[in-house]
Amino acid sequence: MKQAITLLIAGSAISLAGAAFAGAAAAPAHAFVFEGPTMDTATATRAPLWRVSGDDDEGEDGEGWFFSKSAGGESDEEGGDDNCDDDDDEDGGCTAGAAGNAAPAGTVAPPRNGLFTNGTAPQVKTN
Amino acid sequence: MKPLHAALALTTAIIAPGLAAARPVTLTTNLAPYGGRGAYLAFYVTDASGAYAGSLWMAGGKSKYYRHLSDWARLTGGDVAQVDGITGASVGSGQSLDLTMDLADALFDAGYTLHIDAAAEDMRESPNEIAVPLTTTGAGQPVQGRRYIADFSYAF
Repeated sequence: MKQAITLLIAGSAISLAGAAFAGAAAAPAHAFVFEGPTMDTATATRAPLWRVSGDDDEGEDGEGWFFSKSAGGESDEEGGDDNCDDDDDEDGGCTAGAAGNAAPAGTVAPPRNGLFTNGTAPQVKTN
Repeated sequence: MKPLHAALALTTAIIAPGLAAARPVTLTTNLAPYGGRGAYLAFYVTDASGAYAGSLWMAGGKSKYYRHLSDWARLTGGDVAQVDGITGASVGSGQSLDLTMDLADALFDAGYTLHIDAAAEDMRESPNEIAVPLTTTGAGQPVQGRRYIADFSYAF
């Protein structure tokens, strides 16, 4: 009787181990199925559409101000000197004396381009 | 009698070049209520062949944005010296800009055209928004803009 019980237990253990092994082996089989072309197509169809650029204006009849590329390929935001983009033109923080900016009216004589009479500065008024 | 003629000729010779050389002209630009930040405006002149003759005014102080006034930038190579001494603040939405300057008489009725390029932050560029021939008969006649400028006129 003891022998019968031992055999029964041993047989059960072997069967359970086999079943567990089979279950473990099933997962890679499924993964392989997922890589098939049919599932790829299904995945592609369900993939969300991502909007790469939110700038509708770009490339139409004029480029945007900050998002356009210059002729040299550099955008305004890449210049590294845009720390004063938020300021006003009149505040002087970045405008007055900043390297490369044009001299404001009244600080130097107008250019001698033949359009103005010499020495007369334009008068400007904004309402 | 001869001394009188001589005096007349002398005074005419002194006064006439001054009269012929220049006249005060007021350029009035009314901006449309486009709703954005201050617009940059480049005022410049081309001759009868379309070649750049010179700049009259630049509204907007940061030269790094001048390339967005694309026709002006193309014609001048973005040369800031073109607008040294004739640069002021950008002009806000709905505002008007009056510029009074002594312009050479030779600019009128000789095929010259006044152009205005416009641009505003986060908005589209508007090159050559205004192109108006400089003529004596065109004075006081408003010209409509396309995007930022409601109308532009010049008067003597």
